[in-house]
Amino acid sequence: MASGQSMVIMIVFVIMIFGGLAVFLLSISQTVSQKEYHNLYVHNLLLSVMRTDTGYTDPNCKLVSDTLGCAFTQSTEYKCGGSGEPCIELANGTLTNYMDRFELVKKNFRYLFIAKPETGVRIDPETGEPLVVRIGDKSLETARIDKLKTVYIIPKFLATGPYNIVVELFLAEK
Amino acid sequence: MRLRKRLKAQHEIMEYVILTLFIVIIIIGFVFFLSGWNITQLQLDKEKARQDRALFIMKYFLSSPLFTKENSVFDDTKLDAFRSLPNECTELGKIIGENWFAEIETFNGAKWEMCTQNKNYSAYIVPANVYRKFTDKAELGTLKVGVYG
Repeated sequence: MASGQSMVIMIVFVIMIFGGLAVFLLSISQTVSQKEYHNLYVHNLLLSVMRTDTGYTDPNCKLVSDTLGCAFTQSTEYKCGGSGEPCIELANGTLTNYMDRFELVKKNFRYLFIAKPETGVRIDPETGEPLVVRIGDKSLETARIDKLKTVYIIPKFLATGPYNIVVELFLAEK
Repeated sequence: MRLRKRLKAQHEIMEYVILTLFIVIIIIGFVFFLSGWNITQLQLDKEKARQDRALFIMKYFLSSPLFTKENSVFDDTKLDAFRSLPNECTELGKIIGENWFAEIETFNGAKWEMCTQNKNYSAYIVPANVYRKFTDKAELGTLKVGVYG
């Protein structure tokens, strides 16, 4: 009887040792990280979208980055090309349209663009608050989740000196 | 009495045989597990090497003045010129190696394919611009780089 018990204990002991080793090996096993690829992707995404033409020849609205810059440097009545859309609306429409074309983003990610002046503020005449352009999923700004982030600076020059606009892009998995 | 002793001895031998059998089964199972684990790790290493190579080629394409107007903005005239070269893949292969392909595509439908073959591959896609000289516009598109094998 005692011999049978010690046999069972021994078997359990051996199983525990090998089981522990297996768990240890599984825990140290490496996986292929997509981090570098995702960082490159998000960086290029912001860069490419900002440098894409909007279809306007007006220098304030030629590229997507120009329309965002225009939103902070021109009056709110300013219309692209004289009779087109206001800069903020054009930036919003084009950015949303362009982001929808990327399958990876559309299927797997939520995104948020935040554009604001690097220094100083511009007051939004409608709200009386400092103007900050947010396009995309606004909940991402405060969400405490893993986010990919990249920054693009739009250099602008006013009579008072350089006036840079900082554009941040956040991506988070759906 | 003697029979009882003999039976007890046989019983103990059986216990040891069963114990040994169990331990051998556990060891064989563990050997199989270790082999599987090793194979998986080797496959992951291979996949990682393939990913590193694809990302290296991707970065090369995005920054090479041979194809781009500025970083991440491809120039359509340079892409056309490259495609018209004889042995373009062999020549580029001297810099970035063999067994890869690249596809640059705009969302307006223009596409440039380089060194494509009919083989298994793993590929990565990143956003990029293509500057169209004729219209003087930067179009939005993608760069797809794949590694064969």
